[in-house]
Amino acid sequence: MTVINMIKDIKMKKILYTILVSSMALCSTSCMDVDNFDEPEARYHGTIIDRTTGEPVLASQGECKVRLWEMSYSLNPSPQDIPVKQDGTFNNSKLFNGTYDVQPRGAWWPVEKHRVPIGRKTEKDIIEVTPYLHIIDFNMEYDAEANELIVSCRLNAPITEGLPNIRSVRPFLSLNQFCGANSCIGEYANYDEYKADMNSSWARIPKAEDGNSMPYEFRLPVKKGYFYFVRMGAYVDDEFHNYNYSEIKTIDIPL
Amino acid sequence: MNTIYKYICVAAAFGLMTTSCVDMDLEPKGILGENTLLKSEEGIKKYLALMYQDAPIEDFNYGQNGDQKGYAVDDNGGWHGGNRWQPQKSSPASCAQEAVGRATSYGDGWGYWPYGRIHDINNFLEKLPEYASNFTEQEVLEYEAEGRFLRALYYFGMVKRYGGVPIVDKVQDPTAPIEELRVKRNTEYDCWKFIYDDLKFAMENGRTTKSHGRANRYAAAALMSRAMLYAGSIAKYSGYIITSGEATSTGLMGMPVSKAEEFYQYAYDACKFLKESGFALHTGGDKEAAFVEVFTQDCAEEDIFVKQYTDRSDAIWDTSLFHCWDVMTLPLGNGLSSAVGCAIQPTWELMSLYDHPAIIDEDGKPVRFDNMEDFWNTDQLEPRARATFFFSGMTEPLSGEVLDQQAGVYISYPGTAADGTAESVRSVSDYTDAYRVRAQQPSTYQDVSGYTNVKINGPYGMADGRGDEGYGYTGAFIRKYVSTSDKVGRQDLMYCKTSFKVFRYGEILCNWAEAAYELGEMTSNSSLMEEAIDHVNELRDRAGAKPYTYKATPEDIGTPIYGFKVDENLQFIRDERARELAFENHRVFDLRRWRVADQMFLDGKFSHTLSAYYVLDEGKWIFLNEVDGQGRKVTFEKRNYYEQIPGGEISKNPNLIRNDGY
Repeated sequence: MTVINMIKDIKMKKILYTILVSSMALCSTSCMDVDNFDEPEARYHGTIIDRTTGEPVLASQGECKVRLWEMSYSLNPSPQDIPVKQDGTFNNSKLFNGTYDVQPRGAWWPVEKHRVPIGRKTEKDIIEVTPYLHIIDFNMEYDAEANELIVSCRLNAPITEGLPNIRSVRPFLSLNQFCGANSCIGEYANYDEYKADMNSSWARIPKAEDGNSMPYEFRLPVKKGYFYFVRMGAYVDDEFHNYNYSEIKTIDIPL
Repeated sequence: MNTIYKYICVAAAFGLMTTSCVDMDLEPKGILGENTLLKSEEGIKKYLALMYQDAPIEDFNYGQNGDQKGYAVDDNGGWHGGNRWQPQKSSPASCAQEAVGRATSYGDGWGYWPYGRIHDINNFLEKLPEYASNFTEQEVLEYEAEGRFLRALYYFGMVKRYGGVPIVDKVQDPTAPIEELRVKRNTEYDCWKFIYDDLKFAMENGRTTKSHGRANRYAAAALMSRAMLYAGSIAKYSGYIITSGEATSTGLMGMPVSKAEEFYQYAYDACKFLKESGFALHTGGDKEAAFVEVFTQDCAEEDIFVKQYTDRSDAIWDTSLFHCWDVMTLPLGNGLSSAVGCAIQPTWELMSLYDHPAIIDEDGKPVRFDNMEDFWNTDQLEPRARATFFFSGMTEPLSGEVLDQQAGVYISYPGTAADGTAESVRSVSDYTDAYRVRAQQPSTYQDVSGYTNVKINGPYGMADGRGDEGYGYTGAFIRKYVSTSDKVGRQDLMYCKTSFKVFRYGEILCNWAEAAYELGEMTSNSSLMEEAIDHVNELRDRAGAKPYTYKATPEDIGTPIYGFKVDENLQFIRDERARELAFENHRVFDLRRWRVADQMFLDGKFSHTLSAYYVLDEGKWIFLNEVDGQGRKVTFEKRNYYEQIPGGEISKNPNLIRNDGY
């Protein structure tokens, strides 16, 4: 019995020594200096403005991006992205001070990089872009008899010359204020009748007399007693495949 | 005693002093430098052996995406990373929907950057003249040609992935200033021209002896025809990828359309050169047997450059000098695969490209066949298809096993083919729930609504409970390259030694047809376009397929799908390439250079089967193209038309501008 106790004791001592030594090692390494960088506290923020309307672009949460390259850090830096929010604004307040190249990347005609110095007091940046498409005449009605939402919209292209193929038009339904391709009820996308995949050039899209497209209409079954946020979107076959959106409408489906 | 001791001490001290005067600059023993190797034919073979072994050849051991990405020999910091374990699970065939499998997209690459081997080749080319006195003048030229062929092969492996890369054609001095060592990327056009220059030299000066395992001027011509065809199509179609940024605007990615003609011409000339050098298709009375022989035997008339493997007992371990093809394509079974089994299986997307009997009639209903074998045991199926696939009911010759892959039974089939082939995994629908019976395990017999002891499925598939390997789930197995003589290769993984035909005349005719047609279209020369069809028909004659008739006013079938013109004739030439070169790991790169992959696999596409069902109430067989039981969708990201330059290389060399689109 005593022998076992002794062994236990030795083991215990060993463990104690190990803890002591390793904690000393930890303490000594913790004396190291912190690195010579200041905490990142520079801020870059702003709004993406639709040049044709003067309003912020109609975006969805986190789909379009503002890409940054920190030029004062490296000759060939790896890029970092700031997501654009639903109201067309973007904000990152934890950047390092420095000179950055900035390029907005999303559902608009390509924009050249521009260079901005970014520090703590950098002013709001207003970036103007021309969207590929405007979703116009967005209408929504509720057909109580069929319990379906009838949505329709038309497409307008501010610049038609060289416009990539139009890939798809579809509605987005959401149960909260965030509404877009990243935040919607995904089930509708699984059925061909709730979207129009056309993959067609602008020239071959059927158009009305005013030069905009003919309406795209969808009938969407909905659930009674729910409050829906609805918008429509379309995207072209560019590099990013981001949607251009309509404004958001809301509807309360009565029980 | 003391005196003797003193003398010894003094002598030893002198001894130490004298030996310490010897120059320490000794040649290390046991390392063979170029001073030894470059003096003889055998030495040069030894020097180049590693360059051959690591060469970027998409063979049986190549993985495009997934667990086993990359060339088998180049996955461990440029050194051999062991034998390739089940590489078909990362197969480029499944990325291109030739076969179902686990890798279903091209992927973002694995950082291929073989400048180590390029350095070795540059060193060889630079030092060779110093040892020229050991050889005749012609031999020196032949060695130089061999080195430049290999360099072109390595550059081709990079340029087809990244576009422009730094051209390093000299041995760099490690003590040079860092700015000199950080070489900038050259434009994509310059890189293709660099490959052209190397190959032109190799074509003019390479060996004329035809030895399959070692590069000669014909291997150089074959690579010329392939690489220049790639360059031509990249120039012609790269405007389609709408990316913008520094790499695009400075010509590192993409080339102007005006350069396409030049490259197509180079490809055309190289093909012509090979024909004039006496290469021809391997033919035979039995067209099916002749096509099987192309991949299982040496065919002197057709083989241009061959990668050989060896018996596992002879090979050095960890060198990937053997492969797993037979065990990874045949199903598990007696005399068939004894490990894993059919990890890749043909899709209907590929099978349907061949001449085959109709399986759906004019009313959309499945055609009724008397026997399961009637799909393939008929003149309506081209013999090349029988040589490329084992259809259900065919006999595997080496084992004598009948590869029965019956999918199930239908109690009755009143509907159209569309009713039984819904676009859901295994095509499950209310219709199939009502009429269809399938089984979990192979060789299942059971009673079905009044019929007793009905055979539900075959011994080799389709068995819904057996996952994605071992048993068939697409209705056919791959036959191409499966050995007709080597039973040992089926014992376990890495026992196969069937040679891989890196370049064969069949591919040259495909290259020739495409180059001639594109060239004819760009220069409005219809005789060139008709010539292209002649090359296609030469292939089709050997295949036993119906000849194709040139259409003088072809329909444009590309614009509605891709947004650019691809006419009927050109599409047929491209499809012929898919048929002739199936499972030879060309297709994923072809779809990529034609810039059609993103549209073909838009939003992900299911693969389909050739499912043989027995209809109980009629006593007949039908064939349905269902969604396969694994339901993996094949995708292609538009950004993958160019891979990103490896991040580790950019941090070493900030002059490497990143590719756009990432």
